[in-house]
Formats: sequence, C-alpha cells, structure tokens
Amino acid sequence: MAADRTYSHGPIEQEKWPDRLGAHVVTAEAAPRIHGYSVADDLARHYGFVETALLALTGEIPTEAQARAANIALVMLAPAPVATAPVHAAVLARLCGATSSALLGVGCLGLAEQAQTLLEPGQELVRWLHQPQGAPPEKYRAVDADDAARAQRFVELVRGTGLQLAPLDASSGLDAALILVLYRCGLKRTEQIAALIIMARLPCLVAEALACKARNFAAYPMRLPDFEYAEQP
Amino acid sequence: MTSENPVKLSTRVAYAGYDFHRFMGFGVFDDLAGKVSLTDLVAIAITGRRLSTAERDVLDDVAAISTVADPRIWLLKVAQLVASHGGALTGVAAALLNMDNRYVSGWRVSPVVARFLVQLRADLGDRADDVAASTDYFEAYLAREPIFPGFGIPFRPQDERLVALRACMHRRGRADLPYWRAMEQVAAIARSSRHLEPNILFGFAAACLDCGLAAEDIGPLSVVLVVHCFLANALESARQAPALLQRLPDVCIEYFGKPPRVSPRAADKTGTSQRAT
Repeated sequence: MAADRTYSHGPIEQEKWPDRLGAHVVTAEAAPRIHGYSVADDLARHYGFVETALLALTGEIPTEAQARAANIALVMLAPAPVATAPVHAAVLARLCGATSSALLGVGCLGLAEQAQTLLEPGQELVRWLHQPQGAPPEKYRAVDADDAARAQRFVELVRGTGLQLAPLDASSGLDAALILVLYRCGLKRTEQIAALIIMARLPCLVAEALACKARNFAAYPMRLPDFEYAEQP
Repeated sequence: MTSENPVKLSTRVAYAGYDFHRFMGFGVFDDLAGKVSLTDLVAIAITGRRLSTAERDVLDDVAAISTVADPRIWLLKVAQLVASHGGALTGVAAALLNMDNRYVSGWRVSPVVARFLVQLRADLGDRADDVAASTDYFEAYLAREPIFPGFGIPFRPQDERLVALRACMHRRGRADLPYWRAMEQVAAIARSSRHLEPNILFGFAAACLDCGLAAEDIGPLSVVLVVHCFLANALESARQAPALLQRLPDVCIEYFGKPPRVSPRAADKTGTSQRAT
C-alpha cells in the first residue's frame, strides 16, 4: 500500500508561531485555579456561583454588596418567557427531537442574540454607564409607567444591598437599571454583561423546552404567527 | 383563544402545498427541479433571481478558488474544535457563526468593499477609468477611513486566490467588465502608492458586482461559497473525535494570569496572608 502523500512547504510552515496556547483565567492543572484562587480549596468552600462568575469575568472577587446586587439582578433577569424568540426556538428544537447539545446551542444562540440586541454596543450607552446622571439613552427609557415602576422597585431592592448606585432618572426602564447594576458589579464590557444575562435566562429556557413533548407536532400552534406567502408579479 | 391568529406576517420565501412547493417566486418542481444547480439555488435564496449561466460559472469559480480548508487556519479550526466531541453539524454551525467577524471573513468585509467600488463608479462616472481620478478618490477614502478592507494578505506576498480568480476572469472574458476594471485599477494604485496588496475579497466583490449582484448580497454569498470547507473539517473531526482537540495537553498551555493567592474569606478563616502557600 502506497504511503500517504504529505505537504510541508506552505506559508504556515514558514512562519514562526508560539508553541503554546495562552491561558489567562484558569490554570492548566489537575486542581485548577481561577484568577489565582484554588477552586476546590478556596472558592468552592467560601463563595457562591455568582461570586465565582463575577470573579471569572472581572478578575477580582466581588464585594458582598456587588455579589448580592448581582444575585438580585440575575433573579430579575431569569424569566425567559416562551413568547420570546430564544425560548420559542428552543421549544421547536425539542419538538423536533434535537439532541441536548443542539437544543442548548439553539437556545444559547437565541439568548446571545437577544442580549446583544438589548445591549447594542454604542458609545451612548457606555457614556451613560460611566456617568448615569439623567436620562439613559432613548432605547433604555421606560416604555410605560409600569416599566418605570418595576425599575424603581428593582433599584430599591439593590439599594438594600449597600451597592452604591447613582440615582437613576425616573424615566429609566428596568433594562437600564439591570444593565447599570451589572456594570457597577464590575462588568464593564457588553460581552461580560451579556454572559450573565444568558446565564440568568438559560435555566427557564431549558425548563420550558423540556416541558414540550418531542414529536408532539399536533400540539404545536403551527400558524402562530401565520405567514402569508406572496410573490412579486 | 380563537382560531384567528393575532398577527400575520408576509413572506416571500416559500409556500408548502400538497403537490407543489413555491420558493422565492419559482415552482420547485416546475421551474427548479432538474433545471438548476446548487449554486443557482443559493443565488435565488440570496438575490431572488436566477443567474445566467455565465454568472453562475463565476460563482462556481469563486467557490472552487476559495477552497482553502487547512484545519490550522483560524476559521476552519473552529469547525474542528467544536465538532471534536462528535457533532459535525454543531461544528459547521459554530464555524458559520464565526464568519460574523470584522477581520477575516467576507460576511462583513465583502459588502464594504463592494460599496466602495459602487460608490467609486457612481462618483467618478465617466472618469472611473482615469488613473489620476481614481488615485485621488482612493487617497481621499484612505484619509477618511483608517482601514481599507479587501487589502492585506497574511504570511504571503500576494493572494494566490486572487491570482487564480484573475485568470478565470480573463479566461471567461470578464476582465473588461466595469467593476473588475475598477478593482484592478484601485489595486494597482494601492500597490504602487501604499505597497498594499488586494486579497480575494476585493476581487470577489468586483466579480459579483459585474454579475449584477447588489453589495448587500455579496456577504451572504461569500459565506455560502465556503461552507464546503467547514463541512469537510467538521465531518473529519466528528468522525475522529480526537482527544488532542477535545483537550490540549497541559504542557501545551502557558499561563499568564494571576499567581496563586488566597481569598479574603479563606484568609479570615485560617489567618493566612493573601499569598497562597
């Protein structure tokens, strides 16, 4: 049997590359550390999951006020209604009998898109997060009086933790308040905030999807919403 | 709830009937089956129209030329890594998703390059073939924009894919079409004045514009035309499920993070300092 033909004279061979992959958060060892703290001997004994998540994202252990405020924010963010696209898509994945990884992938992808839309990186939002005096950018203002009231109730809960929050304008919506709290918990980048939002919503999404019976196509409202096909003449 | 749906959306994509299906204005069995290629279907999905044979041949040329699927290349390695636990489709999906980046894929770059060429021809009109006018236009663009997409080739002096596409365009008699001419002119200007070499995305955008495609159609097309590269890598990785990809050996990792330390709560309990032992 002839030997395989191989090639080794392309540009990838000609360049000089690092021979190791850089790690900046988790050590590569049997007993890993996160940002220097032993997982088994320290973090697991003395800290909760939210504190560990904030540590991983920011590089530092959060203050107790930050951890409690983040916990409240995560609980507030947890509801992921089936009416929303990520959960609806996950339900469809389950209906179709998707594998666990496919179901979770579909759901996480939808949640990531949803979070990105919420955060919509832009200088205006970043400026407001740095100095949240006055009204937030238009997109983050309360959509109605109920939204403004929900935002205020959330702010009052967070105040109880001791986390210092600049007064939010009365026009702020709940989204603005949630993002601001996570920012004050040390999450300065939209990717960091999005990560926590996805973590918060994933359990409800998965639970809602698992409540759907796979292959029970007749029970799924196929015309919700309905699509009307139209062709250009 | 009544059977009336609260919302109805309009779609131009498709309708599923009993013995017929419609797709983007075409009858699936009457107009498409046996009459169009996979490339034609992709073009219909993106543009809503059928390509001419000559136009389809250009896209096939681009797809073949873009078959640079070495699994060591960043975009391809994503497919191998994610598929390494056995899920080929997941690997393809991850690699496709990673095409939504600003630096190394056509999804975002190609439309920018295409819009530049469209604007150049619109702004210069009859002077589009004039070297001096194009030079001024190019320099003015660079003064406004810090990065000119469609240029830059990592680790080699020229983009061999663009060289191959150029040969195809000449062979097919398309090198004199307006956008290809404009692309070549700007490429020559960039080469002489800035020592910049165009890459395949610049040529791809020009070739597509000469096919009558809109700038916004070119990004999606650029992704579809390389799906086979992701597919090959994901399928291979899923079949092999290499432990080496699932987890690199510890000796392959270099840690640059914080040194070992003790948390405040652990320190309080044990009375140790902030330094780990």
